[in-house]
Amino acid sequence: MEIKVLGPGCARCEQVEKLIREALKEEGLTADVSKVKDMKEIASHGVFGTPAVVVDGKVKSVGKIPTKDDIKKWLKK
Amino acid sequence: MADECCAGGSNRMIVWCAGASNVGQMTHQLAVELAGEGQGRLFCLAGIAAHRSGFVRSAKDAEDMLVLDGCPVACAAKILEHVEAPVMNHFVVTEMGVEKAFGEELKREDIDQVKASIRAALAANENPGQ
Repeated sequence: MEIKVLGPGCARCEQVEKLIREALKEEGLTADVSKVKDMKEIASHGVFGTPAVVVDGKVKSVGKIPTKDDIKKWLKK
Repeated sequence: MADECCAGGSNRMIVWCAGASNVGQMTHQLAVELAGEGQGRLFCLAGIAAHRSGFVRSAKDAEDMLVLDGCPVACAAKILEHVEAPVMNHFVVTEMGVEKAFGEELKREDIDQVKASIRAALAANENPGQ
């Protein structure tokens, strides 16, 4: 599973990454988690705002910090 | 690491039908001018209609929105409904005193009049009771 956190690197982006890593650990899963700070690449995903989360190529969240429960649902699909 | 980098700018998404008629074309002009005045940020309705996941998710997660349709066919609003995104602050140009026609140039006074009505309605929604 590939998870991307889109955002220029603010506290909210860091929080999203932290929640993803916690959710993965709690679910006993592994994934390739990366941060995307390049604005051209962020724009290529068509998101209106950041932070945004992309799981296996699908945008799951835009402009907000998702809950850990939401993240766990994405991991299970 | 910046604290505010994800929070900059307006969070109001502006989408518009950009139809072929005068009122459809006026929605484009209105959108560009209202964005330039800080009333929101332009967003790509075609990306939502194409079911691109980033566009659809952005529409679903939008905090605020301005939806501009030229006529009651309401293609912009229908596209949002189709992807189960909320439709907020929806305006239809023909319901604001401009008649639908084809091949006519936009009149500056019509654009200004419709824009003023939209601005007033947005301000009223932001400050209910004032």
